[in-house]
Amino acid sequence: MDHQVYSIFDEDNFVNLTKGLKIAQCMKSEDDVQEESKEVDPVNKRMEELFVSDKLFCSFCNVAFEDKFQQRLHYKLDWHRYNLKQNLIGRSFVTEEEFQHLADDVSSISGSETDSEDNEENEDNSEVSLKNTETQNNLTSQKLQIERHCKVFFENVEGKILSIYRCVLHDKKMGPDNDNDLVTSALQSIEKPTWAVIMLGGGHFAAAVFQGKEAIVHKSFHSYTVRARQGGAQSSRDGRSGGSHPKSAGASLRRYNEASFNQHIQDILTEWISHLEACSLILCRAVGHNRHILFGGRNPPLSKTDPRLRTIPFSTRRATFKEVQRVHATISSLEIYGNAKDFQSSFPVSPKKIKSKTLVDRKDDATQQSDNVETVVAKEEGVSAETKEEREGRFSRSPSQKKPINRAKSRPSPHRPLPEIVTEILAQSSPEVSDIDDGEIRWSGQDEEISLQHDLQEFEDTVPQWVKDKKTKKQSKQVKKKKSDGKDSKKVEKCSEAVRILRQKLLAACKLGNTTLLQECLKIERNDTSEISSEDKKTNNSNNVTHDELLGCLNEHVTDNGSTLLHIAAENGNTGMLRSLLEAGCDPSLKNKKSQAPFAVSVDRETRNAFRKFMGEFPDKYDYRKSQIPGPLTDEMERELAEKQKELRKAKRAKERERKKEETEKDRFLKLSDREKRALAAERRILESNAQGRSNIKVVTRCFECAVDITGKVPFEYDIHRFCTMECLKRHRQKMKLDQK
Amino acid sequence: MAFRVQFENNNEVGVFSKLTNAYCLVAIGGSENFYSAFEAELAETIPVIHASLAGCRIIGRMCVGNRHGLLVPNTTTDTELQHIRNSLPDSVHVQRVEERLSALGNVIACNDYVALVHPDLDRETEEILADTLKVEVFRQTVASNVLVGSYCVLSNQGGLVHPKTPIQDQDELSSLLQVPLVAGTVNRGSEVVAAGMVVNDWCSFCGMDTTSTEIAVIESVFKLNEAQPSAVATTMRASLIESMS
Repeated sequence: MDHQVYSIFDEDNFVNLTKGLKIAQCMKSEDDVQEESKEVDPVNKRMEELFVSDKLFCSFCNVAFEDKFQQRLHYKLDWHRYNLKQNLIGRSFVTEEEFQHLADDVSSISGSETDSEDNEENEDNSEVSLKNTETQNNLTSQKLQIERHCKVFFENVEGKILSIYRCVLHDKKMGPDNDNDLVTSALQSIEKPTWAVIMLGGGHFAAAVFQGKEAIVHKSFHSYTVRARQGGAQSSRDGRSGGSHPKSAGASLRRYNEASFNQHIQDILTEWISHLEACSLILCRAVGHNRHILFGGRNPPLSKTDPRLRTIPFSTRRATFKEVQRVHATISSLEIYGNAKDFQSSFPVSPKKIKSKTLVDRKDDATQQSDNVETVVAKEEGVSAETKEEREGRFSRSPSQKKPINRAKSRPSPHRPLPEIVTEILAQSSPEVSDIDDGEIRWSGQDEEISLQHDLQEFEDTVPQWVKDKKTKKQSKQVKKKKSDGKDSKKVEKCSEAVRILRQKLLAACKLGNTTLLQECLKIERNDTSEISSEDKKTNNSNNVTHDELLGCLNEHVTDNGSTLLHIAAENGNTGMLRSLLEAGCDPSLKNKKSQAPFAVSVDRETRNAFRKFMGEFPDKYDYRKSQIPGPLTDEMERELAEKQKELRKAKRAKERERKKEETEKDRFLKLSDREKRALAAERRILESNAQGRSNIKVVTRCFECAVDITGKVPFEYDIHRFCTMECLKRHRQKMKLDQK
Repeated sequence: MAFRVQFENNNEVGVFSKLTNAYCLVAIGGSENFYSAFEAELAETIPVIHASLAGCRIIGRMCVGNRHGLLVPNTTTDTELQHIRNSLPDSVHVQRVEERLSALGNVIACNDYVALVHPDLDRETEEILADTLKVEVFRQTVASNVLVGSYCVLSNQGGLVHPKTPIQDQDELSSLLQVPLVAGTVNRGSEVVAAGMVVNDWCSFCGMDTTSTEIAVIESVFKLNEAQPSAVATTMRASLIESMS
């Protein structure tokens, strides 16, 4: 595309180029078009149109109906609803078959998810029908774009398109009444060559008054008003901080400079007032508080309502004289783009929204796409075919790459591959485990697998075992249901059968107190485990019951009140059985529904001791903390206990003997006559007085036979003799009898 | 006949009122002018009721109804519901609905026979709608807007839709609803037609800004000129006068 730039002020060129100037077709506003096409009163026309249509068609789903009933039915379908949503997000419709296919995959057709269906074929089908409407849309959008463009496009007698900046032709607020006004103002633009350009910002000021291409007067200067690093003018900083203005040297310097900057500008502009009055155009760039310098204050140098005043319609750099010249040159340029057709096809359109991206013909697309409407026209000349191709590539890729994500709605989590470490671990573990990769997670199955290899100890937790067992039972049921393949299910059934029999046997043995039966059950088991340990693991398929299953049986809650086998044995007081059960692996910490441990339900001391003895022997076999067993009991402890008891008994016996002695004494005393009692009392008194007086007389009466001191005691008497004991008395009498003979 | 009214200097009269063939609900406002305008026109034929829904005055957007019934959102308080029930004729069933899209007036547009609803409306609400209002329910959009209740006004005579509804869509909708449709505006170019006006089979109220062209369109599409309750005075006039002379 040819692209040439001339200045408006080149008189010869201007006159040549603007011969037969008219507004370019693409610029024509719609009102004009309408005016040409129809002059009918819109209301009347509408009234004529009033009728109930009998169109049996749904454009959202692109489907025709045979009758009204079918039509009514259609608007209630999910398919229709889905297509409505597709239409809303700018996608093309799906056919009924495709929707059926989709509905199988998509659980919810609420349309919230942005499915990435590849409707390539669909597009091909629909393209023909949609192409017309699309191109129409393109044209209208393009037209809008052109209407709002900062340049006005004209067509001259040679059919070439040329553009002039809109700001040269008319004020923003007071647009032209019709297209002819635009043309006349364009033609007149050369007659008014005096323009002023004023730019200020960031402490920089640059202004110039041009006569044609030449600057008559110009001035530019800079003063220090902008806060270093923080940015912004000092006055705006002061305004923000409320009452407290910074009092630093820099701040006051900037404040002073700002005031003088304002003053200086106003002075310059008042000086130039004659020049400014002569100007036909005043282009200015003053943003933010800088506007106040030009238009504010008591005597504003410029009037806000001045019809000559225009803003610069593109971005500018720092306000310097050079920049002012550039602005003037750009705005006064007259650009020529070759003939209308070329121009139309290459007119820059800002990137479209997703709506038609997939549908637009791509070649057109690539040429139409560009980033910046303002700058592109100037830069486009250098765009080679290569870059265009590049762009084409980019846009052809873009629909699949970029998809709008609605973050307000929930989306399905994307499928991501597992990290390498995890896959490695999976590969290392047993083949059965690694087989599970089809997304279906069989938790319980995996559990069994692990527990075969490692002897897992139960974790200490607060959930009663019977609750857990219920859960595991349910799970195992589910697992059984799930596994419907031949071999697995058979094995499971076989095992469960054997386990069931074993369980029954164990229960019977415990209830009846049949130790031999119990031993038999446990013995079978022991053989099995030994086999497992000795032979290959594979043989355990042939065995009836595994060790784990037996353990499970032993630790099961067998009765309604949650008792285990151990509970039953303890209740019966069968210590032998208790012992063998404990040895086989019955956990004494499992509780029944009354939360009693087997120890607590033990019928007698012996049973309890059996528990304690077992605890003493195998202190590490179970976790006894929950078993309510008070402590271990060893042989040594038992012996000590026995000795202690013996001593106690001896002491008791001695005490008893003493008590008896005392009692006989009492009896004898009671049998004495009053005189003898009195004599005894006298004796005791004497003894007491002796003890107090410390006299030497200690013995008042002695035994007649053995001369033992019997003072204060109840003596045995016959005749006048007193004896200490009955033996002495008897001996004395026998002696007397012998003497008499 | 179409009338221009204003609710406290606001032209969006469709927001503050609900007009059907069997009743008219008017928001409780500071000034009675709005109410008086409705009462002057309607009081002889249908009850005009002061109401609020969930303490709000935007009743026109919150509820939906026709001569068979009225649906109110679940935020409506019991006293409000009781008041509405007491004031409405017995033939009108009032029903409270649990719906996520609680501004029922914005998501449902209906006349006495058909209803257009938001594509995302709950199935349950759809059923209640069909049962209570005795309408056939269609999920549809109007000019790529899901808020069909806001961008579409329906009566048994005709309908006014969003000004940018394509001709093709208008035809399809008209065929579906079995009423003539026109794309138009109210309140000097407002495209939210349902917010700017209310209509029943013989009477319409629109915002004060509505231009005469817009009024002309409204009167023609809703056939308000011919179908007045006082048809005696207009269509039968000629024959009456002839017989009297």
